[in-house]
Amino acid sequence: MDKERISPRQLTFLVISFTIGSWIVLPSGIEAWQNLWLIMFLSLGQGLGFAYLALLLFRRHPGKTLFEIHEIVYGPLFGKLFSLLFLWFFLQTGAGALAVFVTLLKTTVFTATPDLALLIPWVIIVVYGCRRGIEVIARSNEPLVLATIGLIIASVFLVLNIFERENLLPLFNLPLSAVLWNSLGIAVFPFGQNVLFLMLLPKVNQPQKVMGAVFRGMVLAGLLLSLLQFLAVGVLGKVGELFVFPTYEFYRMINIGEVLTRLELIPLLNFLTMGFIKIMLCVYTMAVGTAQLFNLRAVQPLVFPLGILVLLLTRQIYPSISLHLQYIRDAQPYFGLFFCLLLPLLTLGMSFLRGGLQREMAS
Amino acid sequence: MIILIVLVFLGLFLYEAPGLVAEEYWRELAVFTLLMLLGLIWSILLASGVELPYVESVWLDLFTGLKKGL
Repeated sequence: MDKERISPRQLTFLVISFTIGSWIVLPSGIEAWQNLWLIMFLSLGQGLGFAYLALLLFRRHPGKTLFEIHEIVYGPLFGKLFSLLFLWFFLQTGAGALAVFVTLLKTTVFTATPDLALLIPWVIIVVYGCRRGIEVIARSNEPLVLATIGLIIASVFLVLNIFERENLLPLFNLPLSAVLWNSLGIAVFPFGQNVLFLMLLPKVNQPQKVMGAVFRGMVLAGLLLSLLQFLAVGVLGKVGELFVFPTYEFYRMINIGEVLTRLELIPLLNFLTMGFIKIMLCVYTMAVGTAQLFNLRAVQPLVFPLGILVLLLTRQIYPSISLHLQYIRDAQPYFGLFFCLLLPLLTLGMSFLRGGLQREMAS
Repeated sequence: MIILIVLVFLGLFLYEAPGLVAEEYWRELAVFTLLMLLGLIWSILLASGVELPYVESVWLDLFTGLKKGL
């Protein structure tokens, strides 16, 4: 598994899938509904800033994963503690995404199906994918992400007859504090979560192209999400903010000549694939991280138990979707900021400090 | 239900462990067993109806408390 390699293009596609992930069905910053597509650009800027800091860390320690960097910078004991924190972050990110998709399926299509009947097959597929390794995940992601991009672009033409420009107004009607808070919420979720890729960057076969690949993926994902949000607001209008899953409702509205109707299941299936990739990346990263934490030679055997832990945590993420929405609004920006900005920034600062001290001692 | 859970975990263990023993991956076997035990205990607690805290509720309480404190 150590010899696995992915290309920069595959990394870009993985970043797109991971960023689109679960945000596409349950956007954060829904309070800014009509301004969301514009706020997305502000968030993208912040997200790129976070990514730049994380990539600086990778540039200072080429060929090392985040967990290896922790041990170099903080020493074996504290390094492992920091890595454990990130393991929790990956676990919660994966379980959170899975919980959102299960809630979506339960409230829209499989209303009478027990959670476990949806969770178990999902986790089995995720575990199967992770056991095949990152190369297989990256290769299978390519057609899926192209299908998603195609679908989002096709949506522009599908909604031409129901898109109302007046629905986009009023714009810029939010106080600055609300704009900044919501943009921060989106910057940490989904863009900031890309800190997870620090565990996968050493697997890219052309390390010099990593920064461009990650930035391209984030910008493309940001543009796609903004476009989709723009269309959703134009179709649903102000009432869109009342829906828990506005994207799903937006696709339900499509009606072309009473022939092409009730198309929501096609995008639903498509977005589920993005969810699969996101959760697979979380589980795979956890397996790689756990293996490095305990100095193991094999990653594969850890995938099954880690998949089970994700399944179990999914049931303990939130008791109701209303609490999840409250969490997204009030707690997620702090939680995300801690993992996506503060910890990488601290590690980067310590890395510079240690580098400087070592140079002084050498001279 | 608990018996079913134990059987499932036992099945998974028997599926994975022999390969690790054959390859002499002892550390891998130890970590695998540890994670499986964690999963088993957690599953049994959930199946027995023990009320465990919800993750997002914990974070919400923590950050709301911190915000009030500041």
